[in-house]
Amino acid sequence: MREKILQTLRDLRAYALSKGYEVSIDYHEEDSALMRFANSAISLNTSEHLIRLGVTAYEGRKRAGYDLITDLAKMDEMKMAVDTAAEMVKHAQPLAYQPTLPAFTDSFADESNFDPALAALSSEEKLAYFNAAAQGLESDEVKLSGILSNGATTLAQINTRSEHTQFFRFSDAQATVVLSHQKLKWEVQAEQSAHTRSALDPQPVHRDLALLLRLYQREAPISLPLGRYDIVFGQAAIADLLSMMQWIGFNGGSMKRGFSMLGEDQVGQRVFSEKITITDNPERPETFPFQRDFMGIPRKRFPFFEAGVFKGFAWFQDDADEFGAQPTGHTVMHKSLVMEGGEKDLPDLQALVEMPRENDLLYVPFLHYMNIVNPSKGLVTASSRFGALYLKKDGSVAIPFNVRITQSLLDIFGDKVAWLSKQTAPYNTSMSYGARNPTAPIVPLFMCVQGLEISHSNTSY
Amino acid sequence: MTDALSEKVAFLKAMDERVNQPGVFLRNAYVTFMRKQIVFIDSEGSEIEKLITEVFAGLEVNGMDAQGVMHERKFRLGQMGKPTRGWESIDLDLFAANAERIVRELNELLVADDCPKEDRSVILLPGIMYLQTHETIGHALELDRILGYELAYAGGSFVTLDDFGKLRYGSEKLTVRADATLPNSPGSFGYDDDGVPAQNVLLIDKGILVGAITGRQMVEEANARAHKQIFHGSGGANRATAFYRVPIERMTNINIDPGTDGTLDDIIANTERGIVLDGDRSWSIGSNREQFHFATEIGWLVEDGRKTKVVKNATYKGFTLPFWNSLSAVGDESTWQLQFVENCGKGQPNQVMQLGHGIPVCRFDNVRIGE
Repeated sequence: MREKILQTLRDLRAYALSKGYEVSIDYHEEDSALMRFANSAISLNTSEHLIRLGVTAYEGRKRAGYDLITDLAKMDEMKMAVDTAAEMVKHAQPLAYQPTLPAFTDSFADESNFDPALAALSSEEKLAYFNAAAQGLESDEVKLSGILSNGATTLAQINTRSEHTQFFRFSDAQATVVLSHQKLKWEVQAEQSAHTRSALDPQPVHRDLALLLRLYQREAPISLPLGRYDIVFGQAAIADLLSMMQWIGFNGGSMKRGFSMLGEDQVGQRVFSEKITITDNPERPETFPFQRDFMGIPRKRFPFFEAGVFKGFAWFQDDADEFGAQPTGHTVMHKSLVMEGGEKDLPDLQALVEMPRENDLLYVPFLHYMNIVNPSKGLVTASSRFGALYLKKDGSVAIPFNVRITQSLLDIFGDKVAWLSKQTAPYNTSMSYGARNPTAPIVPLFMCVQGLEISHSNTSY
Repeated sequence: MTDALSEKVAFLKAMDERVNQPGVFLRNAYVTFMRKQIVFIDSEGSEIEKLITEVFAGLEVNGMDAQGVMHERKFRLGQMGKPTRGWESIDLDLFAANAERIVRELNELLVADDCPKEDRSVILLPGIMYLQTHETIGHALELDRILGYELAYAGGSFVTLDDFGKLRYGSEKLTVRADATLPNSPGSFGYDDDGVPAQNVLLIDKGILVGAITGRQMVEEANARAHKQIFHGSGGANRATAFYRVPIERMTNINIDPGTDGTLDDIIANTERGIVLDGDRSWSIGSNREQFHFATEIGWLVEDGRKTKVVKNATYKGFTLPFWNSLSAVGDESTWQLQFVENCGKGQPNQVMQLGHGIPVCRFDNVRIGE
């Protein structure tokens, strides 16, 4: 199949050259499947096989793009896309900079992160996963929701600068299992990311769900007074905060456009807690890594923060061209972010709940609907969701109604960080609004931050 | 959409020139065209073909204040309620006038004080009122959400099946409709993607919840669960983002009826201590739509019936039901604007949909601002 795809791209390239065009051609193919549960039943079991072709035409400093959903058998249609992009570029306005069209120096292919067993997960296997994850936990009042999404992503590129190609193939799976009380409207959740079939294991999901369910059914709910709390973020929350940081933190283009909380003068300075080390590490297969970026730059470990010291910005090629920076090999669909763990041995949620504590701790596993209030200050807002716990210093547990946190990332990752769990895990942040793009940063299971303010506290679920 | 590309590019260049002024650090002029050809056939005999054209356009300017904080002002097509679609809806004079306005307001923001942290009456202009409506009425009343079908992702709703006909959602000044028959709006589409004709459905009647945003499957399930007929058929609101995704409940045009509290100036004149807010900057809603936080582009303080000064970094937050029940003034027809939404997201696999909100200026009392 690889050769058929690449030959198609070579044929399109030859067509473009015969017309005197300068183009890049990006091929994206996905085989996606998603089983969705709601109200303890399968509400949707769907699959999609889509091929997207993106053609970008260049003419001096002008650039224009045309995308379509197509098929390998539709060469005429794909040639039309090339013609359309070439026509559009004539009308484009010249950019203020020269955009780069790379000349790949060799052909590159990477299928090391493709597991056919994961890509081809059957409906029976998915149902078995959910049954195991929720075994014994559902009832008339407590219903199951969730998804198991799995698939394969194939990417290929060529351009008129050279006959060389780039080819990438991944498989991935993302499981989200939610239990919710029909009347009381509380929700608990456990999730899992998998880059191989063997990584898909319902037992840890069941374990966490069972614990949360037991606590939510047994312990008293409370409305927390507004004020400052020591908050333990779970991996879903940490991963989401990290995702935000990509845009309003260490993205060079965002910085130049005034949308970053970090400045160029802060490179080399300690801006976060010494406990914070965040890198882009394509050696971690759980992150669905690209070994080369789309400009052909080989990717290697790239530090963003080391012991709290800011090491440098990520520069996409286009931003590097616009602002005269050096591209950093980050022209990819997603990075391979890894946030290092710390000293606290907390292998799972049970360990956190049983951990002796000197202060009350508010456990926030998940931050719902996070948005950026002020990018220049790194200020974000979000609500807790999916199984928050109030872990009191006397060892008891209460169930807090959801709260809102509006804080700067500089504070959350700053000197208020008390500890990180030793254990880390991939957390899947993939979305399916557009082309399949499996994304899973690796983050600590837990991060405790002291003295964060909750600005809003529900009085019910 | 068959007009020359050069004409469209010329328009964007002209707008870009208009906003390329002192104080503007970053500027963006865009026009998005969509053409959807939808063919629907079902075993019940429906055979429906739709050709829908959408145009979304806007201007955005950003500037940095002395503290290095970026601010923005936007203008979007649809704000002035131009009832037409396609390229002909691009009014050069309209855009030019608003280009001048948003640059002027941006420069006012750059030297403004921060929004104070206190309780005030908030007067929401359509540029933020549409989003308040969208997030805390529209999404909360999608029936699939009420029935728990979005719990794994977008969330649930504080509304239950028992609430219909009873729940006081807002003050008596609040009447809301899901009107898919409004001409020339992205929330109007002839027939939904179940083949059900588009309708005008009353959602909230003088503050009382009476309806929801519904599709064929969910009304059956809702009535069955409630053991009574809450919904008398589909409200014709099921749409799919593309041929490869299933139709789900989507907002149509979620509109608030104009009120009787006069013009914007009248409402301001009748406000003792308030703030006028405009422009969506950030929004975050609780998982059951029960609480919210909005950051707006700009605010103008109101003291004793007069606008006094511009404030920056204006935010407000609240709980949904108390907020809508604090609705104390609804502007008349002169304040009513149709705002378009280009990219509302929900569902798994995820889906994006286009829709509209026709809303007047509204005032809400005792709202926390500045946090």
